[in-house]
Amino acid sequence: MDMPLNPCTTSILHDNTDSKRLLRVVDRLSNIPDEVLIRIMSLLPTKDVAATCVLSKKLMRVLCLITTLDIDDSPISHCVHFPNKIHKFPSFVTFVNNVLQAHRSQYLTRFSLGVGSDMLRRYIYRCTKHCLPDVKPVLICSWISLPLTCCGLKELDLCIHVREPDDGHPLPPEIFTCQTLEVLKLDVNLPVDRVSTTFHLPLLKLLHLRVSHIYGDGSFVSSLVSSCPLLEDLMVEALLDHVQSIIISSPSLRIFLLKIYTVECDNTDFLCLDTPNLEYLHYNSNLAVQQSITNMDRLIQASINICDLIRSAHSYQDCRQQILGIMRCLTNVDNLKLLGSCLKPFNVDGLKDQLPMFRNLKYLELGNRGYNCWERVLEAFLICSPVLETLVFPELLIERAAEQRVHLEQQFCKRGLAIVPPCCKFHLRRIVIKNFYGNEREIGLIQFLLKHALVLEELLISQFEGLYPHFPIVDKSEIRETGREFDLFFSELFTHIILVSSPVPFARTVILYPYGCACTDAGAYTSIPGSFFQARAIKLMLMIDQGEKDDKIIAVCADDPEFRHYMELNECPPHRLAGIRCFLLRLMCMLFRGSLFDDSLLHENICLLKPNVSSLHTNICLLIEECHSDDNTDIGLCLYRFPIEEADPGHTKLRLSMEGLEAIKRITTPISAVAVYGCGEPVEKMVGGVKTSVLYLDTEGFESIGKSNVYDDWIFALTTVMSYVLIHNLPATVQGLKDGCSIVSGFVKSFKLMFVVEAVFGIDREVILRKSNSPSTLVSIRGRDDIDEEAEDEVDVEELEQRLQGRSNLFVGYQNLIQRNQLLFGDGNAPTGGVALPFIPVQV
Amino acid sequence: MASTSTSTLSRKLILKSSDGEKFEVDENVAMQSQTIKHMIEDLDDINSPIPVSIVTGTILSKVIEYCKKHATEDSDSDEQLKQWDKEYANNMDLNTLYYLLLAANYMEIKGLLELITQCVADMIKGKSPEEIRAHFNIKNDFTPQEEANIRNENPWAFEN
Repeated sequence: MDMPLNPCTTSILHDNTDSKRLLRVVDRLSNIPDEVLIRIMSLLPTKDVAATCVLSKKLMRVLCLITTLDIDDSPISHCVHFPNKIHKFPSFVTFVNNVLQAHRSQYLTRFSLGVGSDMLRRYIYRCTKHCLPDVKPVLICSWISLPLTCCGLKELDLCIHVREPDDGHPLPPEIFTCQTLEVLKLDVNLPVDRVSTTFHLPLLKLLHLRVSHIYGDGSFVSSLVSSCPLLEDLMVEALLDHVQSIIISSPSLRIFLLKIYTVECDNTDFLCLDTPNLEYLHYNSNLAVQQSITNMDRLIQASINICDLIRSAHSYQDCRQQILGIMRCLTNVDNLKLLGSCLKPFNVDGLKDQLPMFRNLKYLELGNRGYNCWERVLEAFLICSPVLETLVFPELLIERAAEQRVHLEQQFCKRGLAIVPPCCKFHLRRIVIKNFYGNEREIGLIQFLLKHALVLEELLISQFEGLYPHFPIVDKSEIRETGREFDLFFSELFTHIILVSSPVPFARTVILYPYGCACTDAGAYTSIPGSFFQARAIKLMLMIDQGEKDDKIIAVCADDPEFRHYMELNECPPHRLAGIRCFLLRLMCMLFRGSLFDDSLLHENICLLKPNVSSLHTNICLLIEECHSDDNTDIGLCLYRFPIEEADPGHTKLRLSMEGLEAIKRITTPISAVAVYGCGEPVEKMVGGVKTSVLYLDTEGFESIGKSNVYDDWIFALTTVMSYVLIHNLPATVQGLKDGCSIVSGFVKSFKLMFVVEAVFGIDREVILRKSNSPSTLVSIRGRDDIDEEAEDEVDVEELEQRLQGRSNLFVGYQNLIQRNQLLFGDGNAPTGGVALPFIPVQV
Repeated sequence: MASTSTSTLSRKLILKSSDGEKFEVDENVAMQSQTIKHMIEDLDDINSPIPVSIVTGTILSKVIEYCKKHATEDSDSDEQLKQWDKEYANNMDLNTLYYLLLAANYMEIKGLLELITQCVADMIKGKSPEEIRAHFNIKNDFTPQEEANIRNENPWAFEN
């Protein structure tokens, strides 16, 4: 922002030219040249500037010279429901009086005044005039008048609501003729004197009006807008009884937001939009009885929310023509939202011939309120949006429709379209359904969409939260009927259901991670084409990892007999709790070191992942539980986990831990070792009919300050070479070690790299490497004969798919995963089982 | 014509700091300083070092770092540039910031001046007068009575 400043006063600078003196300068604020200090102080709320007056005489002088006045009465609230510090209001009034009287600068670029400005509460609690401060309009007017007498006012922001507005004291009319004003925001209940006020704002670029009180017949806004030849950004918000007309005519306007709410849900009599250069339109109002809208060829984004159709209209026909009239002016948009009652009158035959063609439309949001069905609407919009990429439904169903119509809709969904619309063939990659209730109609519609969307990559379904906390989960088989195999990852908690389908090998998915893999994005599960398993999310864990929101979904394997009946966390058996508690501690102090959970989490439910190798040759499934912070004591940890390795006292070598050796001796079954990022308890599982102890080896090293990193490298190396499976989430770590650690380097090269985070024990040594966010660069498949080759090749996805083609029949569901893995990775070797030395370094 | 404009672009200037350190910079880098721009206009021989009298070598090198970043247009998006600015300002200690502010003001580099003033304003925001005094080491030249008077005059400013 340019500021007219006094000529540079260099005297202070020259005083300081002696560098020795500069070094002695201690007062870093008062010695700043005046004009710079004024700049700094002008960036602060005036109250803060006033507070600095006590610091030094020089700073006191600055207050009356600042070029921005930014004053409001918060945190005072006069609201009768939630009053706050009302007794301080007189001191606020004195403050404003003092500041304005003392103001000496002839320059003022920005003036912002808030009195009784607690907007949100006013609407929420239906505040009456008794919730407004009792301050005389004449005083307010004298306050506003001051900045208008200064030169160069560019920005005026008034949010003023007084208890007794008075026609004798209207808004100073000078506001509307200010020659320098560029930004004007008005939210006031002072009246405008329409007789003596003329409008002329030659430089105004932005105008935001909340005009409930000064709107009148609408001509106020119309004349104001037409008096601003440079206006680019206009927002009009009003809560009124009845609107006669809205007439906006401005060739310069680029952004227009109109939000009119009528108390009686009346329709506006007349709407006229003559804004040919508009780029963004937001319309939130009732349908107008009459309208005249110009073509807006430059429009990029439009959001049309029709609150209420025309009440006096006898048929939907009129309303439909009216809405089509609006749509025909928007044909160039690439982002369109049609909400509210927009589509209510649209379920008619021949709609597809009436709709205009949206040639550039890439993003379409369709809300369909009312007793309405979708069949014709969907068909028409799919046909008329040839390059559509994303289709969003804020809600598929909100109210029940007549049975007969529902039947028609279902027939339509089953029958499908004779010709697949072009967008479905080539562009439509993403469908989002918010507020999913899970009933038959919705599933029918989803099936319809899935059937036609041939290039779909992502289907996100968020469950309706509120009425039905435990709505039945969609059964996998229902979705399968579409002829293509889809699985839904389901979340109870308003998160995501993600589609994983065979033609879409790399659909992004919900985060479902096996124990210890604190990954930031999905990939592993979906990156194997043809690999299915169904998980049911039973809890969403809100989490912040290193300052970023990183929520985790916690799921159980829906096919697993042990867990499939779990619908939510608290159904899990108590013995899982102990483990979870341990994991909580570890998660907090290790996996997410340096980062904090959302504070509220600590006091509410904390749910955590726990691995459960439910059946060794299938997959790792996740089980979660709830953990309350008040009893997260370290139970179980000490019972199960033991150190194998410990550092010698001088921290130069690692040695075997006797404790660990004893623990291993007590294990009588064969042992399978799994190296993980993180740590886990040993579990006993049946492997090929033999009871086997599965030990999780922690690759993480000591992670202690002051100890050599070499430890960590060695620990990683040892755990890796001793394990059958390595589960890790940071390829970079492994890559880095490859350079520095010859043992690992050799082994990593010789490992087969596997696609899925599924612990398939005994096939061979396998390393799972995952590059976050880029599943296609994941891995290379290597047999152990390929040691000499570079292990950097990227997988040829197509080749993989081809290998899977024709075999998919054999591998329905995850039960045959072992076979599939053998086909994928096997070189004739039967699973070998075997025993390796367990190794669990102590985490200090 | 074309050749003249290229040669103008690649012209080098030498800036000399108050402690005698010399910096060779591209003309378009230096021209972001209005002060230097005006000096060059008056200068006959642009090969002689241009004195930047009140700015030390350490500070001048920082100023040049900023100007270089902002001289190369279109290499970064606005967003990246903002991020860079933020890190640039965050990496300064208070002392450096103070002299940088004086330098930016003296050299009339609008962007840098805005960046640093905003940075200082953010430091003041949300702090009590006592905290501000400690942070910036501000000498109190009021008598206790005078200070009490100021507080009484505008109690609103000292609440919360």
